Amino acid sequence: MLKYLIFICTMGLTITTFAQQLSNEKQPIVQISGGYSRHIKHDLDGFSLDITGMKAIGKKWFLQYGGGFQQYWGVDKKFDQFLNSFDAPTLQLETLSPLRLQTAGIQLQAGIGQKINRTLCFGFNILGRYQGTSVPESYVVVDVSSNMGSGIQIIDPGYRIDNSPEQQLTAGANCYLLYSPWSKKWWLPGIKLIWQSDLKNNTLLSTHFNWAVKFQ
Amino acid sequence: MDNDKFKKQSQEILSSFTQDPPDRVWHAINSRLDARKRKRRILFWLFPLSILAGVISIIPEQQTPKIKPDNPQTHQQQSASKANQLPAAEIAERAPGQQETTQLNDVSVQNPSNKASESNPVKTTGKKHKLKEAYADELMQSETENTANPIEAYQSQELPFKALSLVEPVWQSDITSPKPINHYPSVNKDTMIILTCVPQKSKPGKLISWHYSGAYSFHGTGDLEGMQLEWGFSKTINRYFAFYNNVGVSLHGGSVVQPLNLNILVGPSAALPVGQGSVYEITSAIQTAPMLLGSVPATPLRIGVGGLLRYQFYSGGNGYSVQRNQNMQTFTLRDGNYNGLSLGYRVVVGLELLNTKRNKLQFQAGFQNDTRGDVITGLGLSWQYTKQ
Repeated sequence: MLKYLIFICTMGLTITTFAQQLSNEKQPIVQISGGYSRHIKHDLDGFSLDITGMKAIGKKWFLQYGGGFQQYWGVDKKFDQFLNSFDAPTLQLETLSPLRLQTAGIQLQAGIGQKINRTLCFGFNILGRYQGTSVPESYVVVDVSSNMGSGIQIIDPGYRIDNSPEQQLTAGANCYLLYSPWSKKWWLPGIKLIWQSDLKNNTLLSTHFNWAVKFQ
Repeated sequence: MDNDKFKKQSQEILSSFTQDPPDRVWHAINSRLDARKRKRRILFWLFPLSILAGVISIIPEQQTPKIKPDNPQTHQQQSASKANQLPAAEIAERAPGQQETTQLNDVSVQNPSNKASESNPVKTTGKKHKLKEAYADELMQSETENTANPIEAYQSQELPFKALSLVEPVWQSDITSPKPINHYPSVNKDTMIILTCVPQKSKPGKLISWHYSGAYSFHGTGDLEGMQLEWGFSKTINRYFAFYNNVGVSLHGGSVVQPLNLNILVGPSAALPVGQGSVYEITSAIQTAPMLLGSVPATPLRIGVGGLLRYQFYSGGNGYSVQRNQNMQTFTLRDGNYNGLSLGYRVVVGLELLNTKRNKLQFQAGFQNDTRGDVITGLGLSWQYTKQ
């Protein structure tokens, strides 16, 4: 607990010391951000990446457009329980792979942002998203026994999968809060929190390290 | 009366008084007057010269006069005309090495320093210059070998200046810059080299373009379908080539194992399961494919070839078995080899649909293959934005 407190205090001191104003210049900015992300609907962890172009349209407002990529994966937890239940040495159990669950999406987005104060800005995007997932709506783990005429009983753990999902093309929106206290000559590092949802009820939460590059 | 006397006396005294301004004042006035005259002269000649240049530039190809057959230097000029189809910078460098007699509209201009340069040949150093000389010699030899009558062959050739203006556009900055000419002191200052310029939208070597691409694509032999997105920037190398660096993502999915029709296998009397699915595979990847982009001259075709570095995530197994147990259909996965880094190559062929000063739109077909055996083909659009 103490080390977390020290870390937070150190971060706070660093931010306070080096806090500078977000760039007010009109040159275009390209943001590259990436970090941890969570797919709440599918209960999977992963990462996401964003590339965004920004251009100021006023003293506080700016336009932004870009694209993103999200990747989530996990392993079926039921499978391990199933394998552990087979401990009889007389049974020949094949070495099998667990059902690997994966969700990935790519998206294009455009929107506007606003600087709230010297170091903080807020943005809102409309997006078109293409998502594919291997997570079925429901599945059961079953044992499949066969002797194949050899007299030895072979037991395979298997899956009965109900309602495989299709790839989805959907529309949605996201909003973010960007904290960028360190302004350098041509780049702006920062921390970004993103919340995203779409019409297929996919909800994503992401925490990114943001890297903004200023172009002359 | 006294007043009149005083006036007369004062007029007499002052009439003899003259004050000469210092010389520097006269010099300044003269220089100003000269400058005005020079400006007037320039303005006077600027207008007719610009009209003349305009007329020359719009002369159609058919009206360009041919060299008379009785010209004694036909053969040498024939090779010179071929050599003049090189880019302008090379022409400027080749100039001292060639015969310096040029013909423009049947008017021959004799360079007075020709004899001097022949008697005292210029020492050409540098690999580049030697290569160009070898190229000119090769042209001469090929012309003498291929043509039985060099005079007739030369009649079909076009004048050097036309070749310069239409075949190979030259950059104005390359001409006005004295650097290439100063490398070769044998170029006489009296020699006039006329190079007509074709205006170009942008000068290569200094432009950076941003690329945004999206494609509908297939993974494998069409088993998995999906989409590719790519962002990148390119920097021009010369008129025809550019280096393109990018980051791309892809997402493909599909059911490799289709569920069987249980109505046929089990029969109508058997109990049917509630909902049957299939193993659904997803492949997603992040990749970069730095490549050399080239444009085919005089066509809207664009070709790119480059390497590929790809990290792929995969949700399926390497092997399946599908088994039926009365009313259940199950999938068994074997030997999962899921995520991994791979190397490969990527080829892109584009057809330019739109080309404005800053924006270009291409229809693009892509193909890529890597060491894991992933083959991805895609069709899509690519938008290129050039920062001026």
